[in-house]
This record gives sequence, structure tokens and C-alpha cells, in this order.
Amino acid sequence: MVDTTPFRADSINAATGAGVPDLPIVALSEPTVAGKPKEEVLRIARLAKPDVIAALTKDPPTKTVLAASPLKPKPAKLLTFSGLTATAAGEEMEKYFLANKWSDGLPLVPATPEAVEAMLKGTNLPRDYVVGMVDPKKGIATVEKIAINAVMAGARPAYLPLLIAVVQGLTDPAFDLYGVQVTGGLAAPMIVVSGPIIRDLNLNFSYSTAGPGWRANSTIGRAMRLILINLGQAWPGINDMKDVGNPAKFGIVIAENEQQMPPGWPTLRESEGFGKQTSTVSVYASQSFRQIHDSQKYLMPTIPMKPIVDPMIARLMSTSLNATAEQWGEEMMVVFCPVMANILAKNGYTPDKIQKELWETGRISRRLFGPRPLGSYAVSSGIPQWIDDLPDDAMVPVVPKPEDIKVVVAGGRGPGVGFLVDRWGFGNSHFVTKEIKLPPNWADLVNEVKAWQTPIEVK
Amino acid sequence: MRSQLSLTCSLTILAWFCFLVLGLVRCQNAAASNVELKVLDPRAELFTNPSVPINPRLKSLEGKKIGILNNSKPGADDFAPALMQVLKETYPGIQFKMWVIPYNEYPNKANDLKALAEWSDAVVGMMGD
Repeated sequence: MVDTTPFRADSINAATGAGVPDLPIVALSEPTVAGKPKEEVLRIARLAKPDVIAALTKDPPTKTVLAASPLKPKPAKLLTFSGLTATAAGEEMEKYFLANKWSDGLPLVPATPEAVEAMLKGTNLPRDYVVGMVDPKKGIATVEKIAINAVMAGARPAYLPLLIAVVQGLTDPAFDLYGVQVTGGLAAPMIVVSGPIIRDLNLNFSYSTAGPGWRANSTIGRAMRLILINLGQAWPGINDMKDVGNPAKFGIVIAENEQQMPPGWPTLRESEGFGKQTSTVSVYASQSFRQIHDSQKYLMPTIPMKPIVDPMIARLMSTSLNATAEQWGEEMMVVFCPVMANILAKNGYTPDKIQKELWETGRISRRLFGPRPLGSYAVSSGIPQWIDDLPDDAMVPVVPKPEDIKVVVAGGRGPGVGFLVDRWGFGNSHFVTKEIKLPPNWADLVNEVKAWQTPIEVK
Repeated sequence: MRSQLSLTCSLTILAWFCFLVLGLVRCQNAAASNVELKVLDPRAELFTNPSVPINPRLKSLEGKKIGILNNSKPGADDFAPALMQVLKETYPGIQFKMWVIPYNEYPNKANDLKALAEWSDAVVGMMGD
């Protein structure tokens, strides 16, 4: 295998994970070759040539033998920390976790055996039940490990079914968690919740749904990040190659504002093919958040509204850095606040119509879309030949089909501000929705979590 | 006699002093470890495929068929042709064929990967951007 030095840990990880730990890996002399002049690339190739020939013709120095993973994961080990006081012992734990890269940098709730037992009441799945394998290191996500990280995040037992569904979503091959974790791009999974569970857990669906203040929103997002750190075991600069990171890595959880949606609009879970009585969680590889706010158009309905989405959202979509060939195969998400959604509805818009209009108007010229020919981009993004063949001035849709624009209504009734959430795009990560399965003792769990609520302003 | 008594006194005082210091140290140690916090390890066990040895190496690349597994990233598009060119300079009879398969498509492209393996005497894969 040939790689560049920033990806060394990834290469070793990939080879080991595939069962060929002795695979020879040749590192190029430069951190990247993409976009370099041809002569420079040839120089780099000449430097690498002896190593490539050696890799193909000489036996590796060692023969590594790795045993297969145990079929049944072991229970979590007990760790002991001591101090003069309980606070001091807790600080020893914090320092140990920080030094070993087990922490998100914020103070942690100790996952004592008692706290984890209490958390496990949030599910009727056995503690050694394997929910999935978390990339990039294929950490075995047992219910117990999810519960431990949930405790550390400060989550309540009632949040555990939602977190289990989050892990199911993240480990679904369609999400491409491997790429999201290791990419140099700004990818950060975000969570969108739809359904009756929002009320049960006091998830904030109103003003500042994407912000702090509510235990459920804050700790579910945080638990997701701790799961990605401790189960997936991606770490900045080792195998998480994001140059500058992403604030969304702290874990953003938004909840659909169903009660203030326009009447007749389908909920997100219905749009994703689930029943209205179920609750769902969707995971999305977000990259950046771009404000949508056109007060003149939305708050003064006497001004002609058509095409309502073109001047604003479509412009954002087409000028997005992610409106290019690399990102083509992935979804985009638009979050309307209730004011915007209801004005759109008064003007005859439904989510279907919004998707269609955005798909038709949110376009980018072939010249800016990607190189000619598209080459490997066409393969990685599944771009059809007819798009590659378009003349330079032809306008290319930024997603393959209208349904790839996810429409969500969330937030409070404020001045009319929503956001377009750019997708990551350097891999092939999709918007994945999973049903949240509730345990038989759900009513008891909801009762317990009532004491952990923050009032939600709904106007 | 007097000097013996003085030595004995000194030794006794020294012994008591050592006993006192030791006692204080033991008390401090006991106090230092008087609170224990037990927590469960949050780290997952890693799933590992059993390892297999890599294929035997080639004696030479002359006349061999080398498959190139392009990971569909821009760097691979730029580097693969350069690598093929420089190897051809050393081994004029070498042959190349490139497959473009993103890593996350491996499950769907099993037939393509099989074709790559069947055609090739050796494969060079690409990792990274």
C-alpha cells in the first residue's frame, strides 16, 4: 500500500483490521500529492520507487500473528483511583482519562458499577449485546460500553434507548463512520430526533434547539462523542485527521418541533418511512451551518413569494463549498424554524415542493462542479456520465434527486431564522434514520427523568 | 562509663525519633489512600480479523501484471500514473491495470476486487487523500 505520512496510522489500522498486519506500506515523501504539478508528482514517485519495488519483492521483516476477536466480549474491567478525599480520587480519574485520551476534555461523571447498573435499566437488552462495531478501530459496542459512556456524559437511563439507536445509525454501513471519523474534512455526526420521545425526555425542540441548557440534548450529544472516542478510538492527529476540527464534534442534538409544524406537513420520521407513533433518531455527517434568514421575504407575505427558496437557500446551496463533485452523492439538510415553515405552507409549499424547487434552483455550473473529465470523482460520488458530458455553462444539481434534500422543522417562533447544514462529502455518508425501541419499563424511566427537566419556551 | 551512658541515651533518643517519623509517615499513607473511586473501563475491545500472512513476494517485476487499486481520491488520480511511468522506466515489460474502488464500496464491488486479484501478479493500493 502507498500512503502519505498523515495517514500512516490509518493505513496500519486498515491493514491490521483486514487481517494483514504485515502488509508493506510505503509512505510518500510529501504529506499530499493531490493537485501538485505533474513534474513534482513524478519526482515524488521516483523517490518512492525503490521502496515500492522492495515492498513487492522482499519479504517483510516480521510475521505477525493476531488472534481473532473473542466471540463474546468480556465485561468491562474495574479501574481504581485513590485520593485523600472523594474529590481528589475523582481528579485522579480525570487526569488518568485525559492522559490516555479517553476524555472529551470536560469533567466526567464517574462510571461506577452502581451508576452503570442504574443506566442499564434503560434497556431490556443484555449488557453484552453487541449493537455494532464502531469505526475506525472496530470497537465492539456492547450495551454495557454504551451505558458506561452515557454515564460519563451525564445522561439519564431514559436516554439509553435513544443512544442505542444512535449507535445503530452510526454503525450502519450507509453512514460511512470510518470516513467521517478519519477524514481531514470537517465532518461531525449530528442527531435529529422525531417523535413522542421528544416530550418524554424533555428534549428541547424550541428556541435554541441546537444549543445548551437541556440535559437530554446536551448529554446525548456528549455521550455520542465519548462513544466515538472510546469505542471507535479515533484521536486527533493519530487517525482523526481533521486539521481544525469542528465545533459540532461536541455533539449537536436537535428535535423536531412537531406541534408548531404546518398542519398536514409530514414529520421527519414519516418522510423517512416510519409510522407517526414511533420515535426515530437520524444521524447526519454535518460539516457547517449556514444561516437562512430573509426577513423581508418571510415576514412580509405581501411581497411576491415565488420562487421563495431561490434567492436564499438555493444560493447558499450553489455557493457552498460542498456543491461539487466530491459531495454529490450525499444528502443536504435544511432546518426551517416554525415561522418560516408556516409562511411557506401559507404560500402553498409542502416539503415535497420545497425539495423539488431547491433541487431545480440550487445548482452549480459544470465548470465549477469538477474537473473534466470527472475521473475518480464520478466513481466515488456515483455521478452519471451525462453530467460529466454537460457543457461548462450547464447547471448541475447539487444532489442527485429532490428527496436528498432533507427538510426539518425545528426551533422556536422567533424572527424567522433557520439553517442549511452542509454535508461532509469526501466519502459517501448518508442520512440514516433508525427507530428508537423502547423497553417495557418505559413509563418508569420517563417518570424518573421528569426531575431532570428544564422548561421549554413555546410561543 | 559516662561516655557509654551518653551513647546509649543518644541511640535511644535516635530510635524514638525514627519510630516517631515512621509512625507519622504510616499515618500519612493511610490517610492518603482512604478514599477509593472504582469506575468501569469505557474503552471497547477491538474486533480483529485473524491475521493471515501476506502473499509471497515476486522475484522481479519484469513482465509482471501489476493491479493498481485507486481509492478514488484526487491524490491517487495524480500519483498512480506517475508511479506506473517510473516503474515502466525500470521494467519495460511490466503491465498495469487500474481499478477505481472507494474503500466504502468494497462490499458492493466484491466482483471487481476479485477481478483485480485474478488479473494481477501483485497489487499496489492507495490510502489517503
